[in-house]
Order: sequence, then structure tokens, then C-alpha cells
Amino acid sequence: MNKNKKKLDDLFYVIFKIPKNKNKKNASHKNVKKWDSLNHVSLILAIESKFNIKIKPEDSIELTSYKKILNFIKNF
Amino acid sequence: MKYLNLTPYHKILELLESNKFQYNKKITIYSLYNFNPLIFNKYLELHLKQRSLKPKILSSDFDQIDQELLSINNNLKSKKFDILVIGSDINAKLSYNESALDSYINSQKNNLVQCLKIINKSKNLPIIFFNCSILNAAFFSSKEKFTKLSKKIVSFNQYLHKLSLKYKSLKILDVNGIGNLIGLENFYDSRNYYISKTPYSQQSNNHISFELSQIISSIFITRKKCLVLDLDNTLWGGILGEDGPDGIDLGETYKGECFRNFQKYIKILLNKGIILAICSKNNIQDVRECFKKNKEMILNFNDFSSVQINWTEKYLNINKISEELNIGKDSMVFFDDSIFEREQMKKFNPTVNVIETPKDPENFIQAIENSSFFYQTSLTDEDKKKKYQYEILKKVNKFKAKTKNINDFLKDLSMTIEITNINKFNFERSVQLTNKVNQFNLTTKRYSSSELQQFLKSKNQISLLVRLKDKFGDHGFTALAMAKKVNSKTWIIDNFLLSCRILGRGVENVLLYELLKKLKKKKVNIVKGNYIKTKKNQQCKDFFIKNSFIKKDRAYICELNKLRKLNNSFLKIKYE
Repeated sequence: MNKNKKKLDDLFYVIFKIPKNKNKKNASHKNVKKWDSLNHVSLILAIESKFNIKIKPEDSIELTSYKKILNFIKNF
Repeated sequence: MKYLNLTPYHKILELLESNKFQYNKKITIYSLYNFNPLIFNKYLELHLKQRSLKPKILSSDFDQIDQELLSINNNLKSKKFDILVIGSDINAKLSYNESALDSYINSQKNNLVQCLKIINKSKNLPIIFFNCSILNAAFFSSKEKFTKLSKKIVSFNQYLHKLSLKYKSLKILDVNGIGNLIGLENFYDSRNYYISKTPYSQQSNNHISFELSQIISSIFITRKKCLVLDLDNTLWGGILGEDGPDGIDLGETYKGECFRNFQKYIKILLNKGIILAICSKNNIQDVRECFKKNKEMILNFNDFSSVQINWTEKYLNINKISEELNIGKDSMVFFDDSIFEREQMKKFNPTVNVIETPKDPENFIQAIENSSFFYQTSLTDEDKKKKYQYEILKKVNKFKAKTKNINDFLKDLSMTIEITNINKFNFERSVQLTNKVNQFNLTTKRYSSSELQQFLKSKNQISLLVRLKDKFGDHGFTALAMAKKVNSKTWIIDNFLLSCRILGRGVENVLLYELLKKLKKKKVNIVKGNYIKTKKNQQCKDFFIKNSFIKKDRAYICELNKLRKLNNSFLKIKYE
């Protein structure tokens, strides 16, 4: 779990420029300024390649917060 | 070995974020795509940065090619960019029937017409145009239909190719070839299309952007000049000293054929104007004998302009090669099968470019190709001559060693310089000179084609180009001087350079004097010159002082009414 969190923190840093050690419990597309539709695509593709998984388009639409993404990866 | 390693997308982002790049040049790319270039541009950015280009990528909204091209006149005025990229992919729209294909090709032709208008207007703006990629056969019901449609694509691509031969600023990116290379199954990813409106898979994003960066860097960064090769297990298999000239692996065996092919490839580089050198720990007699006796040898011993075959360390020998050929070490590429030699070179002679040589000889060619060190899009006549010219230089150096007095020596050379204005026949070479010359270059102002074009448009400028001939042969266009008006009385020397091939002959003084004479005729009073220091141009630091300029503040000043006649007894001058 912690490993996943660390990996995801890396991605949130390179895509949204959120510092790696900052608490992102409540981060979502609503309060992260850079989380627009383009960066969402970038995020999904980066998650796929970083965690070596394939995300279905219908799932990708749902992954709109840090928490949801962590949960999704955990249950994948 | 895969043609190109695929870096996963998250790695691309992380590498970009780490920002560990050194930049040589900034460029602005204006790009028009009919797909969403979000991912593609990230790959492109990384490839360009790895080639020491710092890109600013302006992208239109996707699928706006026609509209943008129609208003290109305004864009040319309002946006500043160095290169235009037009990438349209037939499968971005996922429609496959004959009439859809026809109308796609027609719209592409319209785009081209607009491009040609741009080319006619601002001649030297490079345009990169994607050719038509393979059709996604998975969508076809019948083979006949697929074949029929594919033919149309082939003929359109041939048409594009022909056009690029006619218009030099139009470069075609062979997307179709990449499709063939990595295969249709790997090329498209319909899932990517639905998620991000990009038809390409990660792999093709990677390949296409790599090719694109290769073309772009060939336009803005000059290629390397010299390839330094090892012998044993590099040009042939086995060890000459142990196996003898007939025992080495070259020719009919599996490995032997790989090495022979590699030699063929080196020969092609040679014919493209790359200078070859040998740096090998061997006995020179053995090597000479081997080149003479082994019938499978493709390269001749004489193909190498500089040869260092001895037991000295290679990182020291390469200095000798650099001196002998008068080429900066950053223009040299070292290719050696031994990791020990490569690591030593990187450590003790870090400016030399080192290629990571693969273990197996069948991958040697690809390793050099992927490095793009010798890649270029168009061959100027100068390049073909260059090897020949370095040969002349070697003769001159030998001759220099014999004659004692430098003035006698220069007289004996019976040199003639031809001075001409920059015109359309020597334009390309002029651009090349401003970008290539490092050592004798007073301002090191690099000009892109369009920048130079812009400069030449002005009436208040003089641009002189020099061709040097001597008893050994024709050295080609090797010196350049550009000056422009500051005000009615004062002109400034904007660019002044001399190729290292013709250093030490007094050409620079004559060229400066001729330039000053021309300015005097124009009733100019004061000529200002600048020396802008770089890592490499130390040697021309005192050039202006030596030519009776006076240092004032940071610049050098020459009052033309005090201009003294130059004592020149060894150079004939012709004006064209």
C-alpha cells in the first residue's frame, strides 16, 4: 500500500506539481488546479505505465481523486 | 535488438521533470495535427532535449490544420517560430472507404498547396510534413479493398517524396515507413484513440517523435565530422596480431558478413563526407598488410585521413587525431568494441562523443544510426568535397614541416581567394559556416536559414564569402564576413569567421581589409568590431588589435580615414 502511495505521489508531482510529501487525502479534480481533462488523460496513461496495468475508458472517467485512484489500484 | 527502446510514459514525464539536459539551441516549433498531440509532444520534447535542443512547442487545437494553414499569413506575422510541423494521420478519423480516402488525400493536397505558398513566401522556413501512414487493415472486410486503398496511399507518398526533392525546405516524415518497421499491430492503439484522441500506440508515438526530432536536429544542429574507429572486433572479428591477416573474421561466416556489412556502411558515411580515422592498439605493419592482403576488406587503408596505430592510450591518441585533422574533439565520434576504452575515453576525454557499441556486430550499424551523429537531410556539395579537403590539409601540413620561413611557405602555396557576395548558389554553405565554425569566429552568431535570409534582405549590409584555392587544390567557401549599418557614419561587423581548415594563411587579414575598403567606398567613417568570447575562440582574441583597431570600452574601433594599406604579397584576390 505504501509502495503504491509513493508511486502515485511521484506521478502527482510530475503531472500536477504537488510536492511528494504533501498530504493529498482530499486531492481531487475539483481542488487541484492543474487537473484538467488533458492532464487527466496524461495521468491515466502514466498510471498505466507506472503500475503496469490497463485501465478501461469507463473506469478512467471515475478516477477523479487521489483516494479513488489508490483504491482502484489496490483492488486491481 | 529493438530499433528503438521504448521509454514508458511515466518515465518520460519523470525524465522531463528531472531537467538534466544541456542545451545548445532554443527553437520554437509550430505544430498542426489532426490528432491530440498531448502524449506525442511529451515524447517529442524529451527526444529534442536529449539532442540538446530546448523546444517551445506551439500546438494548434487538434484537427485545425486546414483552418490554421488558411490563415497562415497572419500566423507567420503574429507568431515567431523556427519550424512548422504538419502531421495528419489518416486513421485519426477512422473512416475507411474509397471516397473517404480520396477526400482525405485531397485535403492533404490542399494543405500542401498552402505549404508551397509559405515556402514561396518565406523561403527558408523548414516545413515537416507527415506522409500517409498504413491503413489499419483490421477494419477492412476484404483483402481486395485493402490492396486498392493501399495503392492510393503509396502513390500519394511517392508524390510527397518527389515534392520534397524539389522544395528543399519541405521535409517528409516517413510515418508510413515507421508503420512498416514496427508493424501494424503495434502501430495503432484504438483504445488510445478513444481515451485521448490519438490514434498511435505509445510505441509509435515514441518512434514518430524520435524521427521528427532527428529531422529537426539535422536542421538546427550540425552533424559530427569525424568517426574514429577501432580495428579488432570492430572492423573485423578476431585479433589481427593473433589470427593474422587471413585468420580474421571477415566475409563469408555469419559474423564475418556482419563485419563486412558494417564496413560497407562506413564506406557510405565516407562518401557522405564523414572523415574516418583509426585509433587502434596494433602493429602498424600488420594493419597495412592486412588491408592490402585480405580480399574481403571493403575499406582501404587510404580511406582513413588520420591513423593512430600504436600502443599509446586511446584517449591520448585521439588528441593527435584532432590536431592532425584540425577538428574539435566535440566533432569526433569514438566507436570501439571495448567498454574499457570507451569508459576511459569518457573519463579522460569527455568532449569526444562515445557510442555505446552493442555486443553483437549485427547491431553496429543501428547503433550509429540511432545516435544520429551523422544524420542529415540534404547533402551540400561542400560535404562531398570535405574529405578531399582534409587530405589536402594533411599534404599542406607535411609541406609546412619542410619549408622553414613562414612567408616563403605562404608564397609557395600560390593562394588565390575569390570574394563574392552571398547569393542563392552559396546560401546554404553560408548558413552552414555560421553554424559550424567555432575556433576562428569573432561573434559566434549562429544563423538559421530564415535569419540569414532576413539579414540579406536589408540594403544596409555587406556579406562577403571567400573561396580559397592553392597549389594543392580548392578549399571551397571557407571564410565569411558580415557587416551592417548602425548609423550614417558607423557600421558594425556582425559576423566574421574562418574555417579551421584554412587557418594560419593570413586570409583573415585580407578579408577584413577588403571589407574595410568596401565600407570606405560607402563613405563610412567608423567600423566597430566585437570579440565575443566562447570556450573555443581564444585564438582570435587579438584579431582586431593586430589589424590596427583601437579598443574602446568593450568594442574595437577602426577609423577608416586612417586605414593603412595591407601588406599582402602572397595572396591573389579575385572578385566574382
